Amino acid sequence: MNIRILFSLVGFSLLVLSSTSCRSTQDRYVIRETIPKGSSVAILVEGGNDIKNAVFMEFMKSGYAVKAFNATDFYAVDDTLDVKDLKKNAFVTNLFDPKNPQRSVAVAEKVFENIYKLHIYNFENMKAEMLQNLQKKLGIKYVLVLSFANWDSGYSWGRVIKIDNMEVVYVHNYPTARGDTYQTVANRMIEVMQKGK
Amino acid sequence: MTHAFLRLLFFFFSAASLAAAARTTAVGPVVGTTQGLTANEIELRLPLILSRALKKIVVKNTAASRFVFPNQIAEFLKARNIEAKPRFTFSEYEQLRGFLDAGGLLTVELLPSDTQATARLNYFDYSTYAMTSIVVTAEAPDMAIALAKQFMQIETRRTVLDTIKPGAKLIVLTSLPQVQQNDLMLHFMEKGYRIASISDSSNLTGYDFNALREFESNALSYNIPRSPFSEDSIKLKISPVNDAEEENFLYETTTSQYMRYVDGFAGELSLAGAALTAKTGADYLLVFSEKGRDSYARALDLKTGNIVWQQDGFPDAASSSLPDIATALTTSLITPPPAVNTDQFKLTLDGNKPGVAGQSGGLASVAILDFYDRTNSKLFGYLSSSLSQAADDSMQRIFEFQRFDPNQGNAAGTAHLKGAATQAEKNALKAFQKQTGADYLIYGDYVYDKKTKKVTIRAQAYDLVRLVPVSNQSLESPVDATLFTAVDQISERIVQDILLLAQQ
Repeated sequence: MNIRILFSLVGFSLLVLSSTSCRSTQDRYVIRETIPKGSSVAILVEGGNDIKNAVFMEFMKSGYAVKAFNATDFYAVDDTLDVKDLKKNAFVTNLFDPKNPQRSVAVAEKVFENIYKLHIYNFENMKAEMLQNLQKKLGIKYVLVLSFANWDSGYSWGRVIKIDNMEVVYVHNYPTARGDTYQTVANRMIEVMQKGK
Repeated sequence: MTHAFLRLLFFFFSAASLAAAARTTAVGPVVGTTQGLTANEIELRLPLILSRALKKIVVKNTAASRFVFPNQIAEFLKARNIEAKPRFTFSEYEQLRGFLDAGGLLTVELLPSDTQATARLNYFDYSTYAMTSIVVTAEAPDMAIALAKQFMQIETRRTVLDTIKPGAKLIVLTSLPQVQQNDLMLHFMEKGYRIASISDSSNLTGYDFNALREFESNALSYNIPRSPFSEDSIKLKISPVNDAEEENFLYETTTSQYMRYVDGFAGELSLAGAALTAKTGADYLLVFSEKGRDSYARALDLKTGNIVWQQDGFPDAASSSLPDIATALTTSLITPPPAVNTDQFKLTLDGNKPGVAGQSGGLASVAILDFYDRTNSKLFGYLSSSLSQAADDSMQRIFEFQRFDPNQGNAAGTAHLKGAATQAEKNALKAFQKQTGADYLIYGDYVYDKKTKKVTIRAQAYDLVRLVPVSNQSLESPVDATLFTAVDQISERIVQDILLLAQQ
């Protein structure tokens, strides 16, 4: 499968962070298990290349086996598998009865809506498959999803998914302080991941 | 009735009663047959149970709330040539809207079943234009009560078939931006839930996400018709347009798409759920659209493919902020449907039956006369008093009233009504009322058809205070034990009509 699609799926649309996102006002996290040094991790970082390099370095320095990817591989879901395309395609496939447009539009509408809903549910299946492929092909145990794109405007955040059991084991909303840098934020997350508290 | 039960009933209807100043609850057609149960039984018993429950629950709004019995809906449908069925088209619901004002229409479809009785309850709510359907399984004698319990859940806009407890593993689809997704995940994890994944919603517009509000599953469904023609159209059979190859292809495609994604949506949803649980080990998929107290949420049991929990609106949240809505959400997930003491619903329970007041201020006094024998045969003379006694017994089980002394009633009937089975004159009714002081009069006759070997029983009821006919019933029955079932049915219909008139 195209690597761009793969990352777009597991990256959870990192590049499309809403500008209206509310900032988290407290350093809040839950960690279910430590992410020990030496673990093989894939890190998906939202932000420019300078941010990515800085963050990868911190994780490597902390003892993780980082499987990093070129930032240009990241594509938003919008770019590669936009559910809105389905809307277009559903109608392009001509579900209309030309002899009775009003009736068939309604039938088509219902068919489309249900296909669309199933697509959203099945999209979760595709994401799970992508994550499992990361494990199979690259031996990755954890996927780290980190966002520093808005770190200077108030927050950064991270999530860790354990591929073995497909479970989110760590979530952290971190309110960036005045003196923070990419490195200090990354190290704060690494500290929590390694200490488990 | 205990205070606890009253509180429980109040809870049931707290959400509904906020906006229930003048809600109408109507029970429409009950259609079909299922294991050990006929539509007729439900159609007769369910409205009586619900009318009593509603009357006690919406205490403060009793005067403003209206209950419509199936008899009245049937008349409305008949007058407009609308077939009685468990789900109407959008335009038919629109016609009924004029009749029902605010409130909603409840219909029931009894489903074929080899084991326990099974029925699908449909409730079309005119305040939201939403149709909620729920499949109910129960022992046949308990079905009316089981349906009433589920209806009371639907009225609160929260339906729980299964609670979702901490420890469960969730996939969450939400309309929240990512940082707030984290906040929601943190909340769930702090409460002890496990998270398989949480969706990104940045590529879903509000409109697109709203599509997830509706669903069809084998246990529970929720739909909102969008356009005046959509519901009607969906039910129409698509036919091949002509012999043109291209259009035949279109027909085939459209039909197969329709069969798979509309008729077969519940099956497709079940398949998607099974695949998700196989890949992620998740137990439930939770759809959560955050709009403060107007948020909605749905939970799909991935192992069964059924929607098992849904809530529209979180009016009890401490505030409309995400933390408070999330707290209300997780509280609701673990809160079972309110336990109902089903004894409270039993129609035979003394002191708990519906009733109407009489002119004297006490219970209504009802004169039930012996039925007039029109069989021209001495064989059926015994039925005359047996039928009136059966009607009395049957009514006593479901209705609070005082039977006027039978001997005095029969004497007054002989004097003023002369055994008439046709509609009584106002003067005759007035004279009967003056002599007896009764509030209601029930009398009838019966004929025997030698060819079919069946008895036809006709019964009429009158309001003696208003001097108006209340009910006119007729049923045919073989001359065996089922005769008294027919009397039960006639009695229950008369009671429905009396209750209906008393509301007006």
